[in-house]
Amino acid sequence: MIVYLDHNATIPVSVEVLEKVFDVITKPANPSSIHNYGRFAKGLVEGARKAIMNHLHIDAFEYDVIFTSSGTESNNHILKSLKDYHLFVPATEHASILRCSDLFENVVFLELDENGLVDLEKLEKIMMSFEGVEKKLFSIAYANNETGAIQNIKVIADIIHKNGGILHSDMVQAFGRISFDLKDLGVDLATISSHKIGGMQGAAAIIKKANIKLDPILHGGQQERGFRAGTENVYAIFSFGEAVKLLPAVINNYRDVAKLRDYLEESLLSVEPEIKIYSAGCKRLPNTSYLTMPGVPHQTQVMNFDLKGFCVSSGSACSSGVVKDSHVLEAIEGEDEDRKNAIRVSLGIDNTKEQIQAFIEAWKGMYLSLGKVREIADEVKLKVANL
Amino acid sequence: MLKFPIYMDYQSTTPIDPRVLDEMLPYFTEKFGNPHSRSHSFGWEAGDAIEFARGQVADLISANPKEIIFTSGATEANNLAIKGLAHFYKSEKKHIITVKTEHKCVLDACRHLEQDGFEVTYLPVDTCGLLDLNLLENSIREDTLLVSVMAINNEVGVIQPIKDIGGICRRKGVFFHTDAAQAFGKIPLDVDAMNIDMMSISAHKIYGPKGIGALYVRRKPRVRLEPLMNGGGQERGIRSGTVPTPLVVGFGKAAEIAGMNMQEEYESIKRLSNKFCAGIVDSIPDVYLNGHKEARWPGCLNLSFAYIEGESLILAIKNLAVSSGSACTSASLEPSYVLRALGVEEELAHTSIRFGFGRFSTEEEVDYALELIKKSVGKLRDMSPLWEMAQEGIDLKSIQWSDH
Repeated sequence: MIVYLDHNATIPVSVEVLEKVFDVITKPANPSSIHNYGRFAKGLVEGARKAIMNHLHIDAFEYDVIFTSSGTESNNHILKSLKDYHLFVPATEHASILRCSDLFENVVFLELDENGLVDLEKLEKIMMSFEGVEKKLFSIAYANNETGAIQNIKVIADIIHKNGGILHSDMVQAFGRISFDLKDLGVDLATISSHKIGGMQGAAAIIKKANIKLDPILHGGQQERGFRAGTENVYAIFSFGEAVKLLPAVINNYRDVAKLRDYLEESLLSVEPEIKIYSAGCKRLPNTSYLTMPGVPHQTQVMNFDLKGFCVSSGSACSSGVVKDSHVLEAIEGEDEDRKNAIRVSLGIDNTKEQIQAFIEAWKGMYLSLGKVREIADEVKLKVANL
Repeated sequence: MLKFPIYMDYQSTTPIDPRVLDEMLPYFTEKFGNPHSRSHSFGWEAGDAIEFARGQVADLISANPKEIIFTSGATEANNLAIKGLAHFYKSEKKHIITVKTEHKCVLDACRHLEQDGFEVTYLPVDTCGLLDLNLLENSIREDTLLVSVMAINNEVGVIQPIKDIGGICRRKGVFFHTDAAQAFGKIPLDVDAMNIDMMSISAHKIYGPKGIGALYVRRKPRVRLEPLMNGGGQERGIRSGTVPTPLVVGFGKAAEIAGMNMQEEYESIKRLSNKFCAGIVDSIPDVYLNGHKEARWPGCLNLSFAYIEGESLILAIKNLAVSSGSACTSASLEPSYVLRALGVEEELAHTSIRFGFGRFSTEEEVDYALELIKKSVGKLRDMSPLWEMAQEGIDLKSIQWSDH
């Protein structure tokens, strides 16, 4: 039995969505063609756009939905278009935001509290000290991909708007896990992605207020009204829309996922009260738990969990092939040693209580054999040093 | 049994091959891992599948798999090649050469670079659509960074002498990029023999899935690019973003199938295309084939039907899914800039239709299409005053149209 507990990296395509995709995927459909097949393709893309707008309670007069190939592309598109702004970001953002922030002349890193939330008082102060700066862009993820911490986006947006800034929020992890009303939150730009909500990989979107101008990063045909050239990834976009239509029910199911996650954490805490659970003091995504196993490095944990059939991760799915320590935890905790022992467990709506119980048993077994050994070894080392 | 509309727009996109779809299926559900997850078997399995597909794509152009960078499609690959190279070398060289008949995204990327201080030479083509190699060679300057010439034109099917162009570029020490979206998998391409430094390719033009393509980037001598997308550092840092495993797996399979059947498929498409072309030209007067008669991909026939509006003919032959030019620009009623570059007069350019033939075209479809076109052209010309005047021997160019 393999138990998948890495849903923040990606999730399988939902069966209902896949069935709908397979009904149409064999048609040669390019939305720019004027014939029958072309109009059909255009219908699929526009249907998906409408599904997203409906779900987020936004309309085409106020907001644009622009399809892209990934969350990374959306984030790049937004930030690179607005490079002449002063950028304000938390150091806990996704790599695609942080690597783009390197390109800005003026970047300010926002101070965070012990849960990784933007400190609101300090935000007010920052707004005051940058009062004279006309163009201020804030990029703050709604939910962190590693800890699951949910920012007070509505309050943050109010503070920013009061002082003449604009707010982009990377909602890739929050979208489809918690319900929200985009207009009510007040964000000006947002990023969402298909493969995190049960649609196909290869589609994502930028949502932006219509009055904000973005420059394309891909030049060419007039697809997406000139914002994003390239033949639309029709079937992935269609799957995105179909997955969005299922979200109300899915989000409902996440309430049970939260119970399962809490059960997991409580059970492990009863084994070892010294466990550190990051961002546990604030609102988190219902499925995410980022926690330490004292004395056992994350590399050792993920390897052993994999051998036992549990898929977890030690942070975001990165590319380099090297498992690095989390930049998110460093931003929250500084050079704290505990973070070297932290893994991310992210649940999905298909995980069962039996699977979580099996994980708890595996965790216990690993901790008792590896963690305790380490503790004894440390004690011996200490004794030797004191001799 | 014929199925309507008959698909004759293979340059715009192609239906996915069932064998490709079969290969992709498990990666949507059972093997759904994020290929960049390095901590568990789902991730490794997806990662392995991507590397296998990278090899399948590389094999078809005799490249090293490490030289294949997956992108969201050929438009992204063209943007990455041209803008990525220009931005990396901008302090050294500031001149780019391309051709007036390139795909819109190549021209648009170049225009964008002009705003950034680059100088771009847009070379003309002859009336057959071919580039003059002497002109190309003489246009290369001390500060020329890049020559970008497409392999097969998407509107008229003309094949440029890629190997000769590659030779000139190598001799002159400039980078050579080719947009091979219409050529990859259809004609033999060899990046070493042709001295190609960068090549843009697309999956959905060769019966693979949409939303995936690649840029071939030479490693020796090394071509360096500034990424369009920064982030997790996927694709050797050149293109960040989760690589979509099922799409890449389909891309690899599509490349493999295209390589296996290339010669056979070429012959069968050529036979159908020749039959169609001969059937039209023999029975309808005043029809012109645009582009070179020999140096062409037979699966793309661009015909001008004098004295008829292309759009009204398209409406009259609704049972055929065809296009009046490139799909990317077909929403506009402007005559094609590609045909204009070939010197096709505006009147005639307005009457042109692109007929595409591909893997799933059949003889029965060609026969049906021929009859339908003959009938429709006859009917439309019977209603056309221009046709009537032309039959009476009036030179239409001599008429002074009055302004309204």
